[in-house]
Parts: sequence; C-alpha cells; structure tokens
Amino acid sequence: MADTTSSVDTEDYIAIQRFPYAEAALLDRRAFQEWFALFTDDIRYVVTTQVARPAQDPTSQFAIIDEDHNALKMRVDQISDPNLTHAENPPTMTRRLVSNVEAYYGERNGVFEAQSNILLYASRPGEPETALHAGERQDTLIRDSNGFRIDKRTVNLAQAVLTSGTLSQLL
Amino acid sequence: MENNATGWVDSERGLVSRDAFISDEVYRLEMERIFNRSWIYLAHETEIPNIGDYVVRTLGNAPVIVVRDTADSVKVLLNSCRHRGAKLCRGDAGNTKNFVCPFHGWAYEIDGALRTTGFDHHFREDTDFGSMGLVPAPNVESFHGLIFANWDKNAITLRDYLGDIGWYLETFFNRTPGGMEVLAPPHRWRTKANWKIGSLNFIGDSQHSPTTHIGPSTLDSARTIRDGFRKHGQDSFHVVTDEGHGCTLTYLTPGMPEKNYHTHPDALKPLYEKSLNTDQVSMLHHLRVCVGTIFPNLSFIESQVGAGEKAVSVRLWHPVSGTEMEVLSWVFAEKEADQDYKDRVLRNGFHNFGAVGVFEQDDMELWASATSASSNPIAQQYPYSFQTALPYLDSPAEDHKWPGRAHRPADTEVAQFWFMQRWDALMRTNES
Ligand code: FES
Ligand SMILES: [Fe+2]
Repeated sequence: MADTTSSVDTEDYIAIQRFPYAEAALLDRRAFQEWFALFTDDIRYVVTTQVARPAQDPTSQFAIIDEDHNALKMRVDQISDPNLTHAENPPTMTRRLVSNVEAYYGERNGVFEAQSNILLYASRPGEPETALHAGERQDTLIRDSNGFRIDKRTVNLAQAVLTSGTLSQLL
Repeated sequence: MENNATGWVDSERGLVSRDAFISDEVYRLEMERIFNRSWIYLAHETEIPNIGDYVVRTLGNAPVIVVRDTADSVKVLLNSCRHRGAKLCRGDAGNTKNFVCPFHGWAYEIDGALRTTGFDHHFREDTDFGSMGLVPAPNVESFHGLIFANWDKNAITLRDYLGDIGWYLETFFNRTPGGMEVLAPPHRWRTKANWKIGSLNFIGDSQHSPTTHIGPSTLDSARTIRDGFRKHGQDSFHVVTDEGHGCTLTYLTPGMPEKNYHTHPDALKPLYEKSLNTDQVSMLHHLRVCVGTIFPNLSFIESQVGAGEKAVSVRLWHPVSGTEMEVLSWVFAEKEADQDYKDRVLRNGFHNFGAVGVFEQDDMELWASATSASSNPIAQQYPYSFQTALPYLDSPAEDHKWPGRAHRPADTEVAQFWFMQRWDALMRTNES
C-alpha cells in the first residue's frame, strides 16, 4: 500500500508514531467510545486471517471483520455496556504493544498511510491460558485540527485459525 | 464407559449426564460410533470449482483432502502417505496436478491412485501398486453442493440419511437454478467447549437468545423489521426428523404481509419459483429465521442480517476433544445475485455470525464456561436439565403440513432432547 508514496519527515513521523500509542492506551483502559471517536464517518474497519496455502501461491488473506461506521459502532456499543456483553464482562485484561511504525505521505495533503505491528495480549478471567494476537496494521490517517483520525484500518492477523477462540477485543 | 448400557440420557426425567459433555473417553467413543459411521459435512462444491482444487478438512478425526479430480468428481482422500504416513498437503487449500509426498517422493494422481513410488524396481514383482493409492472415503455424496462423506462402507445413501430435513435444506441451498455459492473461505476458531453445545444450540435453543444475545438484540438496527413481525404475528416451532436432525422456524403467520420477502433482491424472486415447489416458496416468503442441525455436527441458519439482506450461514462443530472444538463458518448467497448484494451478505453475515461475530462472541464465552465448570467430579454428579422437553415430546402439532414432525411452542427443549436421544442410541450400539 505504501508503494506510491514517500516517507514522511521527522516531525510528522513522531506525531504519527505517537498516535497508535495513545490509541492503545484508550483501548487498554477500556475507553472504547473515546477510541471510536478517532474514526471518520466513512471508516472501513477490516480484520483478516489467512488461508494456509502452498508457498508458491499468493498470500490469501480474507476478512473476518469488514465493517462500516454503523456496524463498528454496534460492536463498540455492545462491549461498552456491561449489561450488553458477556464476552467482555468481566472485562478481558489486555495490553496492546504497537511497534514498527512506518509512515508515508498519502494521496493528498493531510492524508497519511501508516503501518505498524500490533501484539494484543488478552487474559480472560477464569481462563487459565492467555491469548496472543499478532497483526500488521495498515491505516489511512487524516489530519484535522484535533489531530489524526482513522479513515481506513486493516489489521492482517498472522493466523489461519483463531486458536484462542473468538475475538471480542478491538484492534 | 465402554459398557455404558444404560446410556447418558435419562428419557424419563429429561436429564443428560454431564459426562457426555466433557469426557475424552466419550469423545473417543463418539469418533468410533458416530463420526466414523455418519455422513459428515466437509465442504461446499463452490470452494473447489476447478479441477485440481482442494481443501484440507477432517472426517471424524482423520485429516482428509477434498479434491476435484480430472473426471470433475469430488474425492475425499486420507491426507497421509501410504508409505510412512506423511501429509501430502500441509496447508489448508490449493490447486495441484498431483500429490507428491515430500518425505520420500511417492507420487499420486489427484484421484488418489499411486503413480510411482520412485523405487518401484525395488519392490517384489507381485506388488499390487493398484491397491496402494491414498485411502479414499468409501462414500462421498453431494446434496445441492454440500459435500458429505462417510467412512462406513455400508452407509445408507446421503438422501436417505437426510430424509425429511432435506426438504428444508433444499429450500435454502437449491432455491435458484444456479444454486448457492460460498462467498469466502471459512472462518475458523477454537473454542474450549464440547461440540454438542453447538449442535444443540442450532437445533433449537430458543431459550438462550434473550439472555445470551441481549447485546445484539438490544442494539440491532434490523430491529424495526422484527417489530414489524411482532405486530403482524409470527409462528415459531421446532421440526424434528429421523436420524436426529431438526430445525427451529420462526415465520410470519400466513396471510400477513410478506415483509421479509422484500429483503431478497427482486431479481431473485422469480428464480425461487423456478427451483422450489409452492410450499417451499411460501415457507421462504414468510420466514424470519430458521436455525437447524444435521446430525451430528453441521448447523445452518437462514436469517436476516442487516436491514436488506438474508444470509445463509453454515457452521461445522468439529470435535477436537471432550472439551474443545474447532468451528468453521461459511456464508452463502445465490449464485445469480449481483456482486454488491453478495458483498453486503458477506459483511453483514460475518458481522453477526463470523469468527468475531457479535452473536458468536457471547455464545462462545458462555459455552466455554459451561464446559469448564462441568469438568470436575462434583459437578458430574448433577446431570444437565432438558426438562422443558418432557411435557411436549409426545404431542406433535397436528396442523404441520411440511415434512418432519413439528412441536410448538419453540421455546422448549424438544428438538435438543431429540438430538440427545439419537446421540445416546448410537453411542449404545456396538456393532460395526
Ligand atoms: S512417507 Fe510418503 S513417501 Fe515416504
Ligand atoms: Fe447463540
């Protein structure tokens, strides 16, 4: 995705690098609605896993989540309200580690293409095993007066089977 | 355990031993007495449309390759080399001209026949290479694109096995001349719960919906449509058929406006009339939701997803052990539907029922909790209750004109107990 664009300058890079840190902090302290406010109204939020195919074949990612603003809102509303969720009540204890940030100028002024890696550590109460989900994140960010907003997010999980069950956490 | 002549199900009292839902010993017996003798769903034909296309799945607990061979027929082959057992395919899907074993190089045709060991000259002259192909499942059949296989040579035909539930399956999978199409590879996830909870959930667990799914049912934007149903009146009942299959239907009372039908694209409606009989079209016209299970571990749901689409979703509850399953989930649409509609069906279908679906996440949390809290000797002394089946089991609805036996109301455990009774009967038979 970052093929046609060039790397951002240091000042922009630092700003873009901080953005997923702040975002991860919101999610880890379960401020889901504040997190959701970081998305534009045109958001497309996609999470993929892979089909394990022979190495000669192209990588075969396919969406397990592909949502617009409405659908993502419902997902966020569901886990935000303790009365409306079982998967997140009691809350999953999480830590999100974001790294390997790269940033490029996007198609017009104020638009950036950012990449990062995310590692989600998740511990369900009563579950002896903790879950780890690792993914590559590709974001289209738009800068406005309040900072960055996410216009498109794709998270490519490095898994063919979600071995720790379904995923009620946001990425 | 091997001699559990009295079984796990107490039909007099509507109880089922917890052992059935946690024990690895029961799991091993299930493999022998149910999964290696029943028709098990593996894949849909549209997942392997071209010659040489294959997917790797599991039949019972044996890894198998489901492949379209050069004769354009589907073969199910044990994914284990006849030499020393290595896997021919170590991924989950692909396309190939032949299967060459990476260990010592035995090569097989895509229909499984052995082409050469590479060392044929070192074998004795009387070696019967013709009998050394990949082990095929002796019975493979399709029902409107749904591929099933059975390890039992003497199995009854798939048609006979499906029996009356076939009428309903046909309505969902053969409603246009082109048939249904899988829209994406299956979502797959592991859940630390016994596989039967999934089968039971879909055959008829209406009681779980208001509590388990309080989230989506409070937030769902398609609620207005449901409210319309409430206003116009709806009917809801279980259907059970031989071999332990069943489904639960909720539909608009006949004579009421056919609101739901409008959620199918206009272009498809005339096609339904081409492929289905009048009763089936009428059923589809009025249907709000149908969830069902084909014994033992295939489930399906036809329902509204979002305001403008109806999705058919298929679920496979594959047992991994007594306390764990792997779930595969597919979403289907009519082949003739336009791409935009298919995209919406896929997105909205998986929003609800995918690996990370807003329904799924709460189901899985609670199924795992049921399995984990039952896995101890104290809990095992106290059987699970299916008692709300008992008052209704012997009084089927008399006005049911479609195949199978119907039971009202739908918020009882009749269909689930029907499933468990069939399961128990098979688990107690020992002839092979
Ligand atoms: S195990 Fe396959 S060739 Fe030896
Ligand atoms: Fe459910």
